Amino acid sequence: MRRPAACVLALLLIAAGARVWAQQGGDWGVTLDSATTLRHSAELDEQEWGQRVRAALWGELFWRLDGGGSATLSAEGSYVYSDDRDYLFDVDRLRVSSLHPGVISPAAVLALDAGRFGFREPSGLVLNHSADGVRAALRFAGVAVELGGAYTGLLLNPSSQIRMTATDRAEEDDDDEYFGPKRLLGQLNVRFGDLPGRQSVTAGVLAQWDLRDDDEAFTLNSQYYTLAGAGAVAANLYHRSFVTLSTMQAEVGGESESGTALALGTGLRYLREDWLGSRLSAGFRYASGQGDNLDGFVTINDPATGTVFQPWLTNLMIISGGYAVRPWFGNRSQTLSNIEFSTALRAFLRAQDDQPLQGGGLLAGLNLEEGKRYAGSEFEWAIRARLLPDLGAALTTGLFLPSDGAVDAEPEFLGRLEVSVSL
Amino acid sequence: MVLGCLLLLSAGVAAAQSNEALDEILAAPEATYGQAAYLLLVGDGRIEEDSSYAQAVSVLEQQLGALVQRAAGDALTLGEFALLVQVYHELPRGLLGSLVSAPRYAVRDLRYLRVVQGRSYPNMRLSGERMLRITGRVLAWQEGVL
Repeated sequence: MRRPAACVLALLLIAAGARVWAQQGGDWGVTLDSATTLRHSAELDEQEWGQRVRAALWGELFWRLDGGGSATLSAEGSYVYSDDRDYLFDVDRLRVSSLHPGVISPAAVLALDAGRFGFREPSGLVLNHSADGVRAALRFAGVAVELGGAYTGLLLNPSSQIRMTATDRAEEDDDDEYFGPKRLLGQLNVRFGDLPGRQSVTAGVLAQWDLRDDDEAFTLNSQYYTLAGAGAVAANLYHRSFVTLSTMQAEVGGESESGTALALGTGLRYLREDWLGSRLSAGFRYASGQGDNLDGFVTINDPATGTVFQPWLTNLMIISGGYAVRPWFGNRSQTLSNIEFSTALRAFLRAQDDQPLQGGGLLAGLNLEEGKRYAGSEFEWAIRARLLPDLGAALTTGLFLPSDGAVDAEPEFLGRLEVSVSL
Repeated sequence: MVLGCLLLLSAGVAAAQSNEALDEILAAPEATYGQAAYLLLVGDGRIEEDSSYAQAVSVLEQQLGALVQRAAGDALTLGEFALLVQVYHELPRGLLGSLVSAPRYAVRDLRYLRVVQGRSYPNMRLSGERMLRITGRVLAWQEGVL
């Protein structure tokens, strides 16, 4: 008697589901990305070529729910070839999202996410990385509250960019480590949009727990308190600013130590579509170094700080400026109108002149003379174009000139050609 | 004078029929192939405003061939409508769209032109209202104001 009842129950559930889930939609595709890199430096005997190819298969399904809600299932898996590794198969995204208007309050929409997807804190510099977790957001007209939790220990080691400690970095190229560093993340963000003066403000708290299970290993737990703002300063002039206070607890062999660090930054963008789609930008970033009052700032994943020179965001100041223009802006041809030329300049300085800059690559060992803050400047030129709806390309070149205070450092050139095709 | 009155009356009736057709399309929760054909052709004056949806399909297929395998009364997907719009108005195509006339590539190409906006899956049904909005954006794109 139990089996027929189970069958009836299953059929009822399917029928109920079919009634609730109406108007399905879906799509799938393949994207191919290729990046060819050329590096040249006096430190190299010859020019160094690099190649990275990524092929990804993605799919998405969509349902409309009763009550005006919706649900989406999206997935993406990829194969990557690079000079370091002949093959890497990975699941980049596996996410279930749903929207539920009016469930909690008639004026609010509840958004739920679960699976593997991107997590980001308000500045985008401390954490901007995929992880496996859940997130719930309640969105009102002028306020949004978001709560999330995630785990990074199931990310493949070659794919994980969670590198906070020396042990994490030592394991980065270790083929014996199958999964990346284990971290537990918890996040709460509150965003106030539509404030007077066309401003928005986001306050966020992010906590990170190091779950490395070796008692003798160095572990680092950290918390980040961020206040970020964005909006119009004047006509065509926009800003994006943030300040992040970080508290840290380092532990090794039963001994623990606490620390405090600070990061802040601001960026201005001046947009003039009537000047051939021009964009002028200027910015400043600061991340504290080990000193009397503050400790070295530690991000959860390394953000991009430059093109040629990529120091980690710790004990660092970056002053930057840039200009981008689309000479054929407004042209009837969508291809021509999308071609953009850009140039940028970045000056790198260390925050504490008695602590080194840290980073990877050829310039990892960049040493500055005692008392010297200025490390060098980077010049970047790029051409980007969405040639066709499914074909994009970008040519980026950069030159890093170390300062006179840099010991035995040589200029370094980098060129990179990127092509992307969607099938 | 009688002829003039008859012409005025027929123009009024035709206009009323066109408005009726547009009202019907606007109210349709799922637009049909016939409604799509009517919308494409009546705007260019290739069919009379009092033509039926079946007649519109016949005229459209004479011009474009059987791009979509549908009867006049069948509901149309967004991808199928995007393909009809792209081919009929000779809108620019992407790399894959130039090689293969497929609804999913048509949606991507029109999304790139911002003619299709919002959530846009090739196999989703579209309402008459959305079909009209897409048609309006095509005209705006052709005018260079999109």
